[in-house]
This record gives sequence, C-alpha cells and structure tokens, in this order.
Amino acid sequence: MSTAAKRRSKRWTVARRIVQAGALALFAAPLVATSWGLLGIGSNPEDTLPTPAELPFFGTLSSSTVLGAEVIDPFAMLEAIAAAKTFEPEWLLAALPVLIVYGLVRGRAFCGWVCPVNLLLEGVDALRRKLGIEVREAPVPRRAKLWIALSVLALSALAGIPIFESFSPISAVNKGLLIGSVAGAWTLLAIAVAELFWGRRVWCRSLCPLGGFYEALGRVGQLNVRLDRKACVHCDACSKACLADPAILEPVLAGRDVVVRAGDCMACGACVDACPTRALSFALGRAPKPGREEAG
Amino acid sequence: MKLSNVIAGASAAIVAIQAAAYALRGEPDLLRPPGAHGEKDFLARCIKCGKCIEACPYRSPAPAPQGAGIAVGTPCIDAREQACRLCEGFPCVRVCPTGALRAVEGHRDVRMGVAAIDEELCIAFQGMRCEVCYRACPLIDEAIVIDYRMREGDAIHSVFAPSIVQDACVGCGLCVERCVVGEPHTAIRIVCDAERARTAGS
Repeated sequence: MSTAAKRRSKRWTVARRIVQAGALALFAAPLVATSWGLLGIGSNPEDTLPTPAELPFFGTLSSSTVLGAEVIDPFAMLEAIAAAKTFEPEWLLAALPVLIVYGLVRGRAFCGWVCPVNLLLEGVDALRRKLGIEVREAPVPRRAKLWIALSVLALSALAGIPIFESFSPISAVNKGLLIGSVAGAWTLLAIAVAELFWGRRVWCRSLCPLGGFYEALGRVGQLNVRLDRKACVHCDACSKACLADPAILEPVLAGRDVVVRAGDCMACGACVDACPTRALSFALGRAPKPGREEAG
Repeated sequence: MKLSNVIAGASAAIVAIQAAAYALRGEPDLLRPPGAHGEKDFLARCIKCGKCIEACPYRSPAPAPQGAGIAVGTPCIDAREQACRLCEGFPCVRVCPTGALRAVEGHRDVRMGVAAIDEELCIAFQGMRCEVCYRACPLIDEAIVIDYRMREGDAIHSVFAPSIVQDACVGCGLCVERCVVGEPHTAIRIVCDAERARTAGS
C-alpha cells in the first residue's frame, strides 16, 4: 500500500488525533493567553494578575465557563449531588449541554475523541506492542465499569465527598497540566503499569466509572458504525482494531444487527479505518434492529 | 503465579493504599477560599474543577497537595504565601459551579476561619511596638483592635497588644502573611474551625 493510501485509510484516526490534541489545547489556551501558568505571584503581592476567568472560555474538564454560562461534567455533578444530598436546578442546567451533545452523538465519543487518558493509554498500548509484551485481551468484563460508576455514586453518598474526583486519572492529566493538581496521579501510574503488563486497555474498556456513565448514555447515540454485509470478507481486522471491546462488533459480524448498538462504542473509527473492503462506515440515526427472519 | 497477575495486584494495591491513606487521614485542616460553609459541606460539593484557582487575580488558592488525603486537589490557601484579598465581587465564589463556595455578598459574609495570636511569640506582648497585623487587616479596628495597657510590673512602659474580635474576623489571613515573626511559626494563625464555620450560616 502506498503511503498516501495508508494515510487515507487512517483518516478517522488522524481526525481523532487532531480533536484530541485540540481538546488539550482548548483548555490550555485561556491560561496561555493570560500567561497564567507562567507567572507566579507578582513581584508585588498586591498587584492583580490577569486571570483566565476574564476570558469568554476557561475551566477544566470538570467544569468550564462558556460565554458566562456554566458547563459541568454530569458525572461529577451526580457525585456532588450524592455527596451533598442536595442539588440546585442550575447544576442540571450546566450538565445539560454535555448530556445533549454526547447523548446525540454517542456517549463514549467523549472517551474516544476528548479524554486525555484514552489518548495517553493508546500510547501505552502502542508502546506495549512495540516492546512485544503479551497481555490478556479482556481480563475484566466490559460491563464492570457500569457497576463501578454506580459504586462511585453510592460511595460518594456514604463518604460525603465526590469520591472519583480524588482518584481520577483524567483529573491527573487535565488538571495536572493546567493547574498543577496531583489528584489521581497514583491511579494514572497504576493504570499505565496494569495496561503495560496485564490487560489490554483494561482501564478504558472495563474500569473507568466515567466511561461507565457514558456507556449508559451511549445507548441513545445517533452516530453508529454500520456494516455492509455484502462487502464484509470476515477478515476480523475490525475486531483487532477495536479500542472499546471487540465483543461489541459481534452482533453485526454475525448478522444479528445492522449497526453497532452497544453503548460501549466510542465512535473512534478504528474499525472503519481498519476494514480493507470498506464494509464499515459511520451512519447517522439508529436503524431498527432487524427481525429474526431478516437476520436469518 | 504469573508475573502479569502480580503486576495487576500491585497496580490494584497502589490504588487501595491510596484509598486507605485517604480514609485514615481524616478531615484535613485547610484554609478554604471565601464562601465555603464549613469543611464538611465544602468537601461534599467541591468537584476539584479548579475554576476558583483560575479566577483569583492574586493567585491565592492552589490545589491541595497529596498529603491532604482525600481533599487532594481541592483549593486551599497558604496564608503565609499569599492570603485572600477579599476581592470585590468575589470572582472565586462567582465561578464555583456546585456552590461549594457560595452566598457571599460582602466581606462580612466571609467565614474562612478566625485569627488567633500566640502571646508567647508575639513581640507586641513582649513590649515592642509592632502593630503589623493590625495595619495589614482589611478590617482594621473591626477584626483586630489594639489593646493599649501598661506593661505588667512596669510603671513606665506600655504594651500595644493586638486583640482579635472573634465575631468580626473573617479569616482572610493577611495578618499571617505579614506577621514579622516566622520562627518556629508565625505569632498569628488562622484557626479554620470547621464547627464554628458550619454554624456561622448556611
């Protein structure tokens, strides 16, 4: 295959890298624009310094302000509701944009296209392959993260603190880079080690409670991978490429369904890129599940 | 036993040890930005988004270090480093998305803690004129007053002792930042009395 053809065949991955890098840059931009991260306390402690908060957009993945409107990570909001045993309508309003966007597209599009930990762990996975370390494909069932998400909410209520936020590796990357917070740094290290030597992509596939939350939301997503059965040659390249769990491709490969319906799909496009016959593509809308006769 | 399983166990252990350390650390004693309503309420609502930190024009709050246990990453103020300036409009309170910081109209609504003077260390109590904390206080003559009196057993010299008005002090920490005594610690400190702050209003 020529380099040009290879690049074309990787177009979803390339697009995704651009968005992932863009997401990192987006949150860093207000800080860079105000030289916030570069200046410490002014030489005169009475001097006020320009702050990112004066700009139209600033914040972190947990919460940001866009043109004066609050946006909040819906899972962190649920944790805070559980912990504080109270809520205000504004919190729901702030979570709504996130719920609508990922709800309409695909819950775990966050994981595939935005989450910095996924980006980092894709790197860890690539490194592992380069080093030739063999690991297990799925040591923990993929639905474990749904239960972990529920446990996090229950524990938040019991402990009276949004519990995942003290462990979150996503915070470690996002807020570590932005404001120098070390919360979750140990978790991040533990995950990297586990993925290098134990289970392939085990954090994103099976353990992350935020992924579990978005998996649940993903059940209504309108952007789905569709299989053209006539073009499929059953080479299994898609299953090998899948960043989520290859099991989610089974219904379409076996002909029981026309689109990848599982909430676990991150719409990362790795399978679309990997398919040698272009049998896989992204389609809008949720085509109804074929009846038993059609499926044959 | 396979090596990969040992490594998986070690990874789980890292997280478990972290959790245990958090659980054993107990409630931390940290100076919070204005608008926090007691440590329990604050910890329940704060999602560690860091916006208050990004909103402070004085770079006063910073994410709590690993040693803060479960409160790691929450905003806290090192008063000695850079105390709260009680900005007009309270930009840190305004950007909080979950009301962990809330209900602050003016500085009288702030209850970060209360200053306490160590009379053994304070040079004013030794008979020297200092009054640095008194003059640094944004609520001069309200929160810190000078107790002018004759020095005990001394007919000639007087003492200009700073005195904290418990109900007026908001705990901003400016007195701590400026205190001329540094060793072994400052002669004035902020007591982040959680119980007291909790009852101060909701």
